[in-house]
Amino acid sequence: MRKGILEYCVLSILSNKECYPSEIIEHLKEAELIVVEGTLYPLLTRLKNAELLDYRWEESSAGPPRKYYELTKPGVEFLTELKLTWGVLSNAVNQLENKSL
Amino acid sequence: MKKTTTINLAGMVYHIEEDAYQVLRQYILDIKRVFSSQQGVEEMVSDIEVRIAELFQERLNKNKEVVTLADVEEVMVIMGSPNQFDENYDGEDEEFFHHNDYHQEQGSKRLYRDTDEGMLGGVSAGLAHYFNIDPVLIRVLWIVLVLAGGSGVLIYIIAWIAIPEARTTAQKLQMKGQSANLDNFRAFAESVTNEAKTGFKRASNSVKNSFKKKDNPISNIAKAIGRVIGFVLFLVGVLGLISLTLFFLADYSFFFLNNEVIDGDINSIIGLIFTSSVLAAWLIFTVSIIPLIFIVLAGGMLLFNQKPKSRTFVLTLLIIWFIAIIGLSFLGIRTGFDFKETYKSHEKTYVEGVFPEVQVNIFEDDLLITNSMDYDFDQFISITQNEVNLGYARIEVLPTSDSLFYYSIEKRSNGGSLKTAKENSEEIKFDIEQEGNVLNVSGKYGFPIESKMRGQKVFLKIYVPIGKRIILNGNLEDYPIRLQTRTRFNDEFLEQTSVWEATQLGMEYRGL
Repeated sequence: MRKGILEYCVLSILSNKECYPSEIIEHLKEAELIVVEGTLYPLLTRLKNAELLDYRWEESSAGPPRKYYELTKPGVEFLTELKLTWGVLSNAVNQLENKSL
Repeated sequence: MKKTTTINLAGMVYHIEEDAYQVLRQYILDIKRVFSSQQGVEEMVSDIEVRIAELFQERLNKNKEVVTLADVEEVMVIMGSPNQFDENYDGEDEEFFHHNDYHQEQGSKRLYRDTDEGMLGGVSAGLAHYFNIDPVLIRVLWIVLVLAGGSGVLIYIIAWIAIPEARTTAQKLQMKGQSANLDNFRAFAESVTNEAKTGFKRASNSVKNSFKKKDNPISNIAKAIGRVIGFVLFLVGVLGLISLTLFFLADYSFFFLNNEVIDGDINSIIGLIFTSSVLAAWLIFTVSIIPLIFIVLAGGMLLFNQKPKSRTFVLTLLIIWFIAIIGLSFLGIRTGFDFKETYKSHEKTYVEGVFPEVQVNIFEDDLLITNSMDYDFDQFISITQNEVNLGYARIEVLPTSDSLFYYSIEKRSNGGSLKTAKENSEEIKFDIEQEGNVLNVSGKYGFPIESKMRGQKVFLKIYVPIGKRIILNGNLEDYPIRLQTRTRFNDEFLEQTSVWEATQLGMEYRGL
């Protein structure tokens, strides 16, 4: 279950603004979605392998160069699909919850 | 004071303490290994390295320029252990099982050679980790295999070559069935911190010890058994070495082989058989002494629970042993060619004069054999200054339609060529003398030591005219003598002097 959600979140973060991994980690940590930072990396690799993500390098003044990730076209399409599915799902869950109350 | 090293992480230079570097390196290697099945692992690792570099950057300032072990540990906690990375993911089944295996502490055990704990190549210690038993038991098993036919030596060498050595910490952990997770690395890191002063090598040994199973009764019993077996092996080996050396250096005049007494020192015996006798003697000495040295070493290993001081020494011995065996095989083949041809000579002699009966006396060393105590058939071979006595001539008694007693001597020998075979057969010494109606046969035949043992044999056939009798003097029950009889030949008749009459149907017993 969480697998899809984490990917959805990463894609959502990147749809707003291109980010480098540390930024993504910060966002995910704020939302308390990940425990260890390492989790992000295999996920990014998978999304990139699936050609949903692309990246570019940028120099950094205070440290190593940064790798900025952004959504590709298929990535944007995939996110739209996910959003739809998510909407349907959360609707369904909400309805059920309200019913039982 | 601590030694530091310099690393390049994501294009940035960092000074890092030596022990911290080892832990970090292991961590990165481990990530690579866990995700080795995934596409683009190199890129992922370099992304992770970027993150690690950033985290280092946060921990460094003007007053702190060196990455410490504590920093690395912190970063590792933040990043998580490689198998935690993917816990949210349960993609394809294959990958799921792969990681599932990894999560199980015992599941990812692999067979490595443990050269730290090993005595020789670490095969036993590695196998012991793999099967979770005491290495002493496996060593005892090796020794049993070696003693029971020597197959152990070959299997050990193959295992030595085939099983990889556990070099890295991850491999050492895996060897013991502990996954390279954060806890184990932490234990490793702690011990590194504790023992940093005494160097990395010692530290890794202490990690190993901290992971070692606590002594339990079973392993104590195993150790005790190992000690006892070690003591016995040690003793047997030392005694063997002493007696073998005496054998070859001193002139032992006899020894036992398959319950047969061999009268002669070992060098003469070897000289009798092999073509190049000095070389053969040395090769046989080498081939037989090296296993004894190994038995002493193995015994010592088990007894004192210590490695041999030099592995090169053991390996050199092993190589010499194999070379000697090969040399001996070649010599054996060459010797075998000396048996290629067989030559048989026949010599027919008539007993002079006409007698109704003829008596046969058999002598050994000029003494008449009268009862079974008189000769020692166990004596297989005896070597005097220049003559070899090799067993007894076979005697057969059979009837003939001829009117005179006669006997025929067949001398048989092998040789490299027909010519040498013939020469060898002619050199066989076998005496038979006639005195009136008595045939005096000296039972043993011999040949000069120079002609070597080339399958020399002597058959004596005594022909008795039909209607006439032969007297076999003395107890010949144990002598290789046969009489051609109508029914099955019963050698109980030969327990004392016996009289036999030749008939058309064969020899017939006529009493004492």
